[in-house]
Amino acid sequence: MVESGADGWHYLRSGAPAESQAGPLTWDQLRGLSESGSLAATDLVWHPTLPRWLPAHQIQGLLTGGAPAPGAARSVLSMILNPGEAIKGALRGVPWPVCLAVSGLAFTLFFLQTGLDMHRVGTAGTGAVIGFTFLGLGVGTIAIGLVAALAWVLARPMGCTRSLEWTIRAFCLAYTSTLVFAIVGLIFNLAAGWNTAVAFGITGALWAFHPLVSILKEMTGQKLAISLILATVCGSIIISIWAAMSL
Amino acid sequence: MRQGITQRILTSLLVVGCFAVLAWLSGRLVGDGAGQVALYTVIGLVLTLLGVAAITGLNLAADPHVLRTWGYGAVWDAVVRGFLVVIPFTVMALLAELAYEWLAAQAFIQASIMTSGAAAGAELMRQAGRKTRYLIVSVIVAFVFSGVWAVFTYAFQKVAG
Repeated sequence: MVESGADGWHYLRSGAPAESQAGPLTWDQLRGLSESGSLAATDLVWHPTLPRWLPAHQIQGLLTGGAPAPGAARSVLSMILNPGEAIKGALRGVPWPVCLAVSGLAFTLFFLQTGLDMHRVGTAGTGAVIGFTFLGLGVGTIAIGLVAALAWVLARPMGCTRSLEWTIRAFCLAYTSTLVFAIVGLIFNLAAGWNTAVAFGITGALWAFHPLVSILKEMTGQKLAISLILATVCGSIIISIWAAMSL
Repeated sequence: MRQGITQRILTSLLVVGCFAVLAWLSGRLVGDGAGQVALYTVIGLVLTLLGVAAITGLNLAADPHVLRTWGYGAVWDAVVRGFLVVIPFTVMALLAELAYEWLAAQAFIQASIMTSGAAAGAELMRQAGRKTRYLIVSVIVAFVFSGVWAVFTYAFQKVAG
């Protein structure tokens, strides 16, 4: 492995012709490009000690090393607005219990609203509402974790370099927007008596698919077609679990 | 990432096809008879294409330098590449509506427009040196068109009786 502090680095924009490569740069200059956002994870990097050009994200310490962690709140917000960037930061600063709590709470509140909607029209009793709520907790933690694990297994043959733990954390945090929708929906459900499971719950859960596609792109080396196929498989499984739980 | 003309046409058609399926799924719920469903689908498709064109055009207007550097085609490619996110939404909507008999096509349409718009903005931002304005412009336009589609569906239901 090349020493991260060594000089003599070159880089090449992803998709750019070989003659447009830049360098040599010192490690600090290269890190400066990374931290200023001028070097993308998929841009290629080379050093005389490397056997070939490598994507920037494969150079240890270049994209995920010494930069300050963005903090849980900022990571969560980034995951809603621009998930690709949040993932590029490798979810630094977000401990795994927070990630699990995000998806767990999102689905718990969403399923609670489903139960409340059904209770309002007389198709579910109090016990069923409580049951729905616990089902949501199971979906948001166990089911999402299992789907993430499946995506990781399927992405391995495509050259996935991310760990199983990273994948599960990222999948869980992808449901940040779902949690926001679920909280707002629950407020309207309780305060105004609206039926919110579809308007807020489904919309919120669907909004999570932008981060999911970004996560899968990151896992598969920015291969869009494969990540879309994996997203379709994962999405269909989640929809099917959701439908089975709602019966 | 520049595409060949064939790939550009195919990806554009794929996006249009997916939105046509989503519009048809929603049209089945709000239209009465094949004629109304077809009309709803066509108007919905026009709205979608206007949305894609607006995201492309407004981003170009916000940064004329991009047009000189990239050209219309490359900007269109980036936007359409972002809009390919609609594919998983379409499959999930088909599954939900036809297999599980949910009545949530409108939610799928609005979420897919918002998500695709944000993905298009992120794609432009990634390619144009991480200028956040692309993301902001794209998300705002997608939000507006998502709302326009909701209003259109409501109005169509009223007119169709």
